[in-house]
Amino acid sequence: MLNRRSFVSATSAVAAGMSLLTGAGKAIAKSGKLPVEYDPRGAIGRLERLPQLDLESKMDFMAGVTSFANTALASAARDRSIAILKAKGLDPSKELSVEAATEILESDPVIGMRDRVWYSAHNYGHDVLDGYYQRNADKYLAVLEASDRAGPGSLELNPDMHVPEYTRHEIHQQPGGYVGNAFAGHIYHYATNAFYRGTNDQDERHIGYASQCPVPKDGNVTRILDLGTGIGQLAVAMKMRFPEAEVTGIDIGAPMLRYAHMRAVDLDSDVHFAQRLAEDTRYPDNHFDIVISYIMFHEVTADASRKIIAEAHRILRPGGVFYPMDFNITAEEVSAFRKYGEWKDHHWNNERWRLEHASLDWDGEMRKVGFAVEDRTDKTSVFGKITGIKTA
Amino acid sequence: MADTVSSKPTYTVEFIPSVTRNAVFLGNPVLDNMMHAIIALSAEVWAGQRRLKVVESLLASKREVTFEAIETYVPTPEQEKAWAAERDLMIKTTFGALLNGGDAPSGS
Repeated sequence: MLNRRSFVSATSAVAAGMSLLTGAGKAIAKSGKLPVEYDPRGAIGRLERLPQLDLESKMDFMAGVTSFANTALASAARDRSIAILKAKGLDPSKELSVEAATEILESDPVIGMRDRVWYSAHNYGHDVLDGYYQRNADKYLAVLEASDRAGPGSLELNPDMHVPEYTRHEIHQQPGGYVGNAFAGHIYHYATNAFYRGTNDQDERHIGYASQCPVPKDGNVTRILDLGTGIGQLAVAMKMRFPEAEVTGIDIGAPMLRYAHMRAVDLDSDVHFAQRLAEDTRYPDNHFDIVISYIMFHEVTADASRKIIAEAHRILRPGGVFYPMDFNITAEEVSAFRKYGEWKDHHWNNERWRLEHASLDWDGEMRKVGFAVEDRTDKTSVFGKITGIKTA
Repeated sequence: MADTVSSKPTYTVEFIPSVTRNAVFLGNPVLDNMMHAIIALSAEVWAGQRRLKVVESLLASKREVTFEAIETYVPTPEQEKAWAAERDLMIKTTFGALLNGGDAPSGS
């Protein structure tokens, strides 16, 4: 999930994204190609406005509260943690076990208040969005239904496929998770916009990330795969950067994919979406030039992550680029306060696999399957990316 | 999650509900619930204030004030910036008291 944390390199990513958005002929705005009326309040650039002013205002408020929780309250909580750890004779910059950090910090009221505000804003946003779309289910399901068959691009749904249990959780407490709520995509889009606090309304982060993706040394980019594409923001951004390439996004969540496809159609973006498992994509060997993912890995088990890394290697052609981005990919030692934050994310925010993900040896796992690890972000980063090149 | 009431296909599968919605961060569930209610109430207040700003903007521009005009009004970039600043000031004014750690006991 998108966590509620500061994204490292956000400034450069946003700047890169904005330059793409404002670059001559490169911006994508809504095309109006949806087969049915969908935008009662119109759009601002790429963003469909929420269907009611009140709903928009409440989410706007939650963006403000989230910002307050992530800045002033978080700063107070961090200061508090430093004081507590020092009082116990501990070095606040040093890593503690999850259990020790939690035991020491969990019951402090200042830290608790920061968490209460953040979680209440998070849950309230989810609830008002879910409530609205469920009350108007027929209308919005009809839009999805009509869009499923529209182009450009395509949508492959596999309703009989096995959906592993590990994917069925209400990830980051999103009502119904990604697989159990018909409006998972709608909720995810607007709730994460509030989480991003206005910095991703125009997909700036995804566009920025796409602009940073390394290209195979021979320059040949014919096919791109986005693993765990969610609502397709990165896949569409990759299509913007590589307009001649065939771009596909896969995900296990059919409601997310339906929304992704609907939005891509609305943006006139020729991207293909398919309901498939990242650890078993069913694509041929050596098929893709680039395999990319954005904050998917912390939503899967460590065992699944290892299988996905191996699958990415299998479906990439020699010289192809694997470019995942997620939390902890490059982190080494983390402070006790951050360790406690990871535990809260896992325990209270229902990020079921966050701790497993944090324990994964990314360099080792990638090398084990045959990737040459060529580039990685600073090891102190919260949010990291790593580049693997498939050797021959 | 609210129930989906529709005969149309949803393409959903059974999910595993989160059991963490009743998280207690403040040592007493009543305090947590009250804080949640305050935040929800504040959102309602802000939604009313923002609607009022839209109505005032329409009146100032001598445009017809209809439900549709209110709902579809697009703030200017200057208004967006000013309204966001006002929202943040409201949050700082109302929730700023939470920054006061007082003499609360440190940790466990």
